[in-house]
Amino acid sequence: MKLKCVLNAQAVEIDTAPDRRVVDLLREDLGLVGTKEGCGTGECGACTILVNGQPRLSCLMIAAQLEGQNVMTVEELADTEDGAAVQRAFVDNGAVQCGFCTPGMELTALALVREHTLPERTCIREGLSGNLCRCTGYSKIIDAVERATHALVKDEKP
Amino acid sequence: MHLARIEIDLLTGQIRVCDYLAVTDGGAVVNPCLFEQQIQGGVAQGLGYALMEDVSRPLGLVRSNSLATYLVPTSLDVPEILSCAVPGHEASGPFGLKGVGEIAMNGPLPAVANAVADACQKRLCHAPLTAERMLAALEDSHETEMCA
Ligand code: FES
Ligand code: FES
Repeated sequence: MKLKCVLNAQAVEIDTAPDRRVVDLLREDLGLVGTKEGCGTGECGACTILVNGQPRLSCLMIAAQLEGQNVMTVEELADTEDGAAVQRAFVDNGAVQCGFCTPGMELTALALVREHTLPERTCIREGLSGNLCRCTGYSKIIDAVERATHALVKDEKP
Repeated sequence: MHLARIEIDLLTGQIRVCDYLAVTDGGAVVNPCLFEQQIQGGVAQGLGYALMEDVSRPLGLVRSNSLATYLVPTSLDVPEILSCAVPGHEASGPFGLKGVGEIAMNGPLPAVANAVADACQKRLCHAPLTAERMLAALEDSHETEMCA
């Protein structure tokens, strides 16, 4: 099929099989290897992408589901103001160890900070609970999301 | 030295770790932020080992063969973990360093099991300390579970 969507702020037309798994389409066909495949069965969240701003598991989606949608992968993160703030906060707060969960974590975190201004730590924990991290024990990741929301609020003030 | 504050649901046997303190002699500390992260990560893995991670293999078949059956802690299962470093200098290590990669994993199982014993005078001797095991021990009138 000819798949038309907006991918990382670019209108694209992709020739693909309609039942191609989105994670394979991104990684193998388009070379966007920032998105990771952990389990392939919807358990770990490593493959998270944003579809119309909502976190979605790309290992459980097929190409045809992206028709006409707005898709964001971790590659676009640094180009958006709030995405860059999230990324910066992850670096500054030691929220990365092996890094395998990081792309999915950051996209989920971005959706979270867009939806909530200054969320409580319990709210952040709930928001990130679909993304497994084996290395960090989550504390530093939650610190990072907290700092990112504070940085964004400060930026908004004149 | 590891210390856990826990809650046990008497109806279901579910153990929840509410607070955690880990004090580590890790030699000289180069990067305090990453030191803390290593310890927190190790404690989180150790809590998984203590409470939920169960390699179930009846008749030699691995039954917990996916993340749906082999449960690892999510952000909702791990408490806020406080980490303190004992300032030290390891004479046998380069620059006074020691590795802290795995050391934090050793504390959580005994810390949680001791907290359980302190809370309800039941010694669970089989890990992980699942809700089923906790409930069975609570319903048993003996003080301690028989350790095989
Ligand atoms: S790879 Fe998609 S949820 Fe694990
Ligand atoms: S940093 Fe290794 S899984 Fe999160």
